[in-house]
Amino acid sequence: MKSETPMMAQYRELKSKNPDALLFFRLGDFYEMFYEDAEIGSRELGIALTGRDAGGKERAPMCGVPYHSVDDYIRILVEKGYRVAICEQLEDPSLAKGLVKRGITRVITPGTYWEGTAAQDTCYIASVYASGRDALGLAVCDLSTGDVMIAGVSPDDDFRGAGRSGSYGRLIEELSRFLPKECVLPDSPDHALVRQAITKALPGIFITGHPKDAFCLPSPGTSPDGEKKAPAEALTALQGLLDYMKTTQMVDLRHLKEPSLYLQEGFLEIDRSTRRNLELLQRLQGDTYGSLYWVLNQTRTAMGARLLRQWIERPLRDASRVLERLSAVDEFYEDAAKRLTARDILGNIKDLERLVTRLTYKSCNARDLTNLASSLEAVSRLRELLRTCSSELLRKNASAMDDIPEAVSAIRNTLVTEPPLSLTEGGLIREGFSPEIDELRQLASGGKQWVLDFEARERERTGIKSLRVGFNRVFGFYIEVTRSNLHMVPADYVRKQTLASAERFVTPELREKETAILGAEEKLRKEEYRVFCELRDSISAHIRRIQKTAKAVAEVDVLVSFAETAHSQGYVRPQVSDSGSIKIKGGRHPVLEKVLPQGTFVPNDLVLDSSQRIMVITGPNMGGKSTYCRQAALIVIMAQMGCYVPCKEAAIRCVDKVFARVGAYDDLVLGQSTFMVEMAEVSRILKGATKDSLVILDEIGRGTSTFDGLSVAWAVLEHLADEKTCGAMALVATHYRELTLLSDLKPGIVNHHMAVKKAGNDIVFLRKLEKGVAEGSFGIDVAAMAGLPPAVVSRAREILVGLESEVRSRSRWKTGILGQIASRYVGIAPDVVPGQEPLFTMGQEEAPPEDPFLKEIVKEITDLELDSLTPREALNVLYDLKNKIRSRKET
Amino acid sequence: MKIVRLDPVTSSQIAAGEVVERPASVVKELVENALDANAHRILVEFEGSGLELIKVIDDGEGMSREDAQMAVERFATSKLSSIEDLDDLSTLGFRGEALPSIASCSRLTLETREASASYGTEVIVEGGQILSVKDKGLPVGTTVTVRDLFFNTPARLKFVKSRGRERQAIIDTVESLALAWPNRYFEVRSGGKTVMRTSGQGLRNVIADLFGPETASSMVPVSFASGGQEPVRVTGMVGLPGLYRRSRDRQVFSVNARVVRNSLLAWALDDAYRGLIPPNSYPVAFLSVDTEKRFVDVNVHPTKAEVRFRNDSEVRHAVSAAVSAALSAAGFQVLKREATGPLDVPKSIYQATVTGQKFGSSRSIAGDRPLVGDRPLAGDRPVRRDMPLIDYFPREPVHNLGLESGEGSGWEYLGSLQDTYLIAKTPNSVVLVDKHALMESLAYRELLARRSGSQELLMAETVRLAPKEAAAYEEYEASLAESGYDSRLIGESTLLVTKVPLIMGEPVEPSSIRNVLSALAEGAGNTAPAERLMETARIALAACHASVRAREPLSAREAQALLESLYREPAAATCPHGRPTVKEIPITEIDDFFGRTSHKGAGRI
Repeated sequence: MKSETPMMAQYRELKSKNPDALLFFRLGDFYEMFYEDAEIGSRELGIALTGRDAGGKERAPMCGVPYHSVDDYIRILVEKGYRVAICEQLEDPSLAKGLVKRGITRVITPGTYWEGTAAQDTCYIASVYASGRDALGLAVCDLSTGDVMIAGVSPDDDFRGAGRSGSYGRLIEELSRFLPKECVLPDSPDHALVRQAITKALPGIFITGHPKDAFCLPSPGTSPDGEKKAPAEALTALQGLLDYMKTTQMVDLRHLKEPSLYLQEGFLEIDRSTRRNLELLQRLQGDTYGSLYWVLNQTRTAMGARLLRQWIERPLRDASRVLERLSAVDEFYEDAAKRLTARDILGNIKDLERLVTRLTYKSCNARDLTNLASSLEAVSRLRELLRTCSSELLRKNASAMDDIPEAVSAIRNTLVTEPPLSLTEGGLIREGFSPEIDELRQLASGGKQWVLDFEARERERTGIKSLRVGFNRVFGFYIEVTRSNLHMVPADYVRKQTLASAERFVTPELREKETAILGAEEKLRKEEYRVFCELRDSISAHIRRIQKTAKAVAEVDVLVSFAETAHSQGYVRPQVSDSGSIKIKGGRHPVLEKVLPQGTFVPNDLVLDSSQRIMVITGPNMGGKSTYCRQAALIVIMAQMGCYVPCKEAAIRCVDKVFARVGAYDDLVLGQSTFMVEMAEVSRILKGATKDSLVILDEIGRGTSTFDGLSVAWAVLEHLADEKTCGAMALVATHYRELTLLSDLKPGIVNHHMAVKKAGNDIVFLRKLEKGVAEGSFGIDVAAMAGLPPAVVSRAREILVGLESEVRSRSRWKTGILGQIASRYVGIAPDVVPGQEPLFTMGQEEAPPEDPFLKEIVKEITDLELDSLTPREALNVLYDLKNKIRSRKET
Repeated sequence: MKIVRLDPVTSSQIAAGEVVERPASVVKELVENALDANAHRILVEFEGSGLELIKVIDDGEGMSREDAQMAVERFATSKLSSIEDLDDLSTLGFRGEALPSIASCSRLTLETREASASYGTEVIVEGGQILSVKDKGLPVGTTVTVRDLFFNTPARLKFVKSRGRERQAIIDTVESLALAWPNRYFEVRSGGKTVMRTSGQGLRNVIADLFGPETASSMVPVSFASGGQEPVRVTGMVGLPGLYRRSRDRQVFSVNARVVRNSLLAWALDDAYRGLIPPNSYPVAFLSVDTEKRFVDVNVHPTKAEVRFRNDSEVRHAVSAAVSAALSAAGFQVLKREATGPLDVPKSIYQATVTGQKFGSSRSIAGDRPLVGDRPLAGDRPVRRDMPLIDYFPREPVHNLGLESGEGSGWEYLGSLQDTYLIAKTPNSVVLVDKHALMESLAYRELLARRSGSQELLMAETVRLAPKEAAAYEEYEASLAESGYDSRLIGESTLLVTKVPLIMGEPVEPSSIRNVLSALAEGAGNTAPAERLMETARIALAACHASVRAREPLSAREAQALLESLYREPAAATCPHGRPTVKEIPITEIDDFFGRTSHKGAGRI
């Protein structure tokens, strides 16, 4: 058997370094995969599988992709969860002696392939560390922007949701906030449970193991030390993550920012389901169109768009900070010229954060640098504009903006104004910047004199007056002689190309000169590239300054965007305070009013104060209940973001948490039933809601039998309403009209309904909120409008009449809630309080008492023969009866 | 507000022709109704030319169910009960003709709700017939949807202009209203896009919204009340003299909040600017005149676009005085004949206090109107801050300059200004010439007439090409040759140039071939016809020539020669980009400025 070729041996060695990654082996203009990798690659990428002689008995399977389009293929593989190790040729193959040196330059993993994500999106990679004490540390990093966050998840957070145990529930909640693409865990058995929990709850995340010893506490002096001491587990998780990234990226990740300790305090808490239910960042189906982000996004920079998403996810908690933002927005709202100019300038600022990342990875090109220069020039103008503002926040951002003049002038002096995209074709460096380059240019073009001389010489030598020396990309230099002169061509002319009217030749001298000139061209290109790299590296020194500026610009961008949206959508400035009530006049749903035709959305008021903390809203589906509840939540969130709000007037008191349980979307995929999921969410709400929270419950109790659902809904409402147990403000939309009874029983609960008007056989949805209980549920009318066959509709009406009359006929003696409910439902005398049993109802309509004791008494009286009784005996009978009754009462 | 039917007498007394001429008039009527209803946000949507769809949505007072029905019936109005009420008019739409007129020739839907009601009404009308009246859940306010305008009166379609013109008319209409009502929000949408929007935060902001921040900062506020028992109030904003225009396209007048055309007001405005702007030019101005209602006759024209004043001299005086006061507060003075006190030394003519206004005006929201003069200048031509700010360029060439038969021009070169402008005098005017622009213009003309030749270089020169240019070389070799160059490649990106074109008798720089290549590569696209390529090449060449030559100071002789060339070739007064190269100031204008009587008969040009 032939021995393996040296190249395949090299391949095997490199492959062994990263056995679980697909190895992209650079061979000429292609990246090749071999053996099993080739089979996977061929299958996943749909490219042909070929073979190559590897020295063994059979050919080694092989498939490859061209290097200039490798990114597309990498993206496909990464999305499927594969890791890709890139192996490059480390030296110039033409200069190599023997086997070309190769090495792995990067291992691309799902969480670190930031190039594959769009600019407005984030690409998170996380790591988790569980110390023996059951405390958890979490570290999250976004390589595309350099953001790093760490958090400790303490075991005190008691969080028992369905299927989750111990403190992992809280961890899952945090992870789902970020939705990282990859999560790194220590490769040890004590993390098996964590791994399981994450896989089960968040199946979309790729879990990667990393050697446990990488997860250690950083030595003092190397770890960042914030004002708040970070928990040890969090720092350990971070260490592990940093080590993992170092191993895979193989680049000095200078752009990573100082880790920030991620805490919930200071922000309005919105959990994952609420975020999804309110469609803050994307609709339930997954697209951005139709989300709150979509309405509010009038940013001009990618950084601003990303920051806006963050502000939506984490609105503020304190009124004072909200007011800070609002006064900044005011300035742009009031002054159209300022706003227009600011937007103009912002439009000239490119994505500085990603640019910095490209600097770090040394993958930026000349255009990136000139873009950086023009962006910084725009930053300078923006700062000028901000200096004319009076808002504290704007001034703070202005001083944080650093237009780094040294970098701008370095770039402008070194590079031409509009450099080409390629870095290796030359044409980058400005004339006059580098004497070597200018000289080389001269050399490369300076063939001129020589060419003319040569031309003259040849003309003389051959006597061909019309002889020309020219250049062509394909053939190089040539001597062109017209047909008529061909007979005068000397012997040392070698024919190279034939044209219609001439022939072209070369001579050894010409060849030599060509090599020299082209050689100069080659040297020139290399030198330009080198100078470029020098420039790039010098700019890298400013990474921190650029990042700081980027953050400030992003904030201004979002504030201007708020002002712009306020104008185009007709928002007003909310009054914000830390206490008090929530009062909204003419509130509108920010997304619906934009999506629906203008002039159709009906605004509504809202009041939540000490006398009305919980609103129970009844009315038909399609009547606008859900919209009303959701818009309340959205308006509060927008106000606490520092944004103007869609209404005529608003006074908002800052809440600590917003919960929204909306019935539509459920994790059926995970095998949990609708009701189960709903109860899980509701229990989370009941645990988490405080008297400073806002709760939206839309149609709870569906998904199970009527009585069960109603009972649960009732009990939940009582719990919410009780100040001792909860006391939150809540909007409860429901189809259980029974719940309206609660308003009599508990203070602070007020009934409302969405008005509906009957117009002949049709019903008109007025979409106006009114006090009180809805008159009927118009369910059959809605069904008729929806197109249910008329026969079915009329049958349904019959049945309804039957049901209602049955309830009516059941006597009012029925005790307990159901009786009250029933009679209430069909509008019979409502004034019976549960818990008190009616003993007598003599003298009213209907049937005789069925109580046996009463029957007995009545019988006794009826049986009396008054004629045979003496007055004394009659008195005794009365005495007896009274005793009987008294003793009955006492039992 | 209750709507009552007018008695036939009243209605016939004020009946007057058609109110609905075209889509723009529909928009005007509906928007004015919205304003009368105290709406603060008015949205206008339309499709195509407006004939297919016009929708006006407002958040004003709305109507009751009865009022909504009557509103679409002819000759009913809430605003007028008898002819006497005419005098006391405080609303814009009194004749009660608009809505029914519109309804009679379209498919109209009226949706409205009053604040005191919890739901609204929808009325559907087709060709004047009410088809249905229904209750409907609606927000407070009114929405009028007009579809298929003139569907039943095809004769009127003849008067409707092209789609683009109608569209522009609609936008202009709303713009004027937005300027007259700067505290209301207006938005116009078409094809799903917003084509115009004003924020309703005061006149300055509205001007910024419509015409850009730079224009807004070149305007000064006007605020004036004449004396007397019934004062005339004039408010608004006017543009600094540097903002003059060739037509009255940026003038909007409103009287008692109604947008009108009125010659009196226009002349009064002109008075105030006399001498500050050139003749045949008009200032930018947005003015509101408020006076007692009984002095204003609004029943002059069916569309109420014209009014007559009973106190015309007071109004004229008030407007003049108001504008003059505003301008003098900004440092401009129209010197009166009678000197009443120490005169302020005026700043130099045309000086403006604006920073860096770009040539041409910017619009914040693009409309169909092309921006004038927004193409880049040849070579570097920074705008000097203390030089005239020109907002609009004359399309026809400058008048023939001091034509004397035969010999030279009779012009005399006086000197140069900032090394950019030449000053010369003609028998009856002073002439300012933009040196660079003129050279470019002349060069271009020469190339156009193929009058130039080319010249072999003594020493062939190498020119190093950028990659783009080198790639273009192969494609455009022919055009280059035709332009007068002779060249060939002697390296991947090195060109050997042996012959260059002559312009004005001088050879161009060989490196100019790069500019020509660049221009060709950019301007040509894939299938540009040969003439266009040549044109591009010529312009680029001319520009090059000018850049180089203009950098050097001209001797008096050279300058004079240049003037002579201009004289011989008057078309050169406009450069190939459409910009002027020369500015003439007749002596009569100078006389006027200084308040001297003109020299009559001195050959006014």
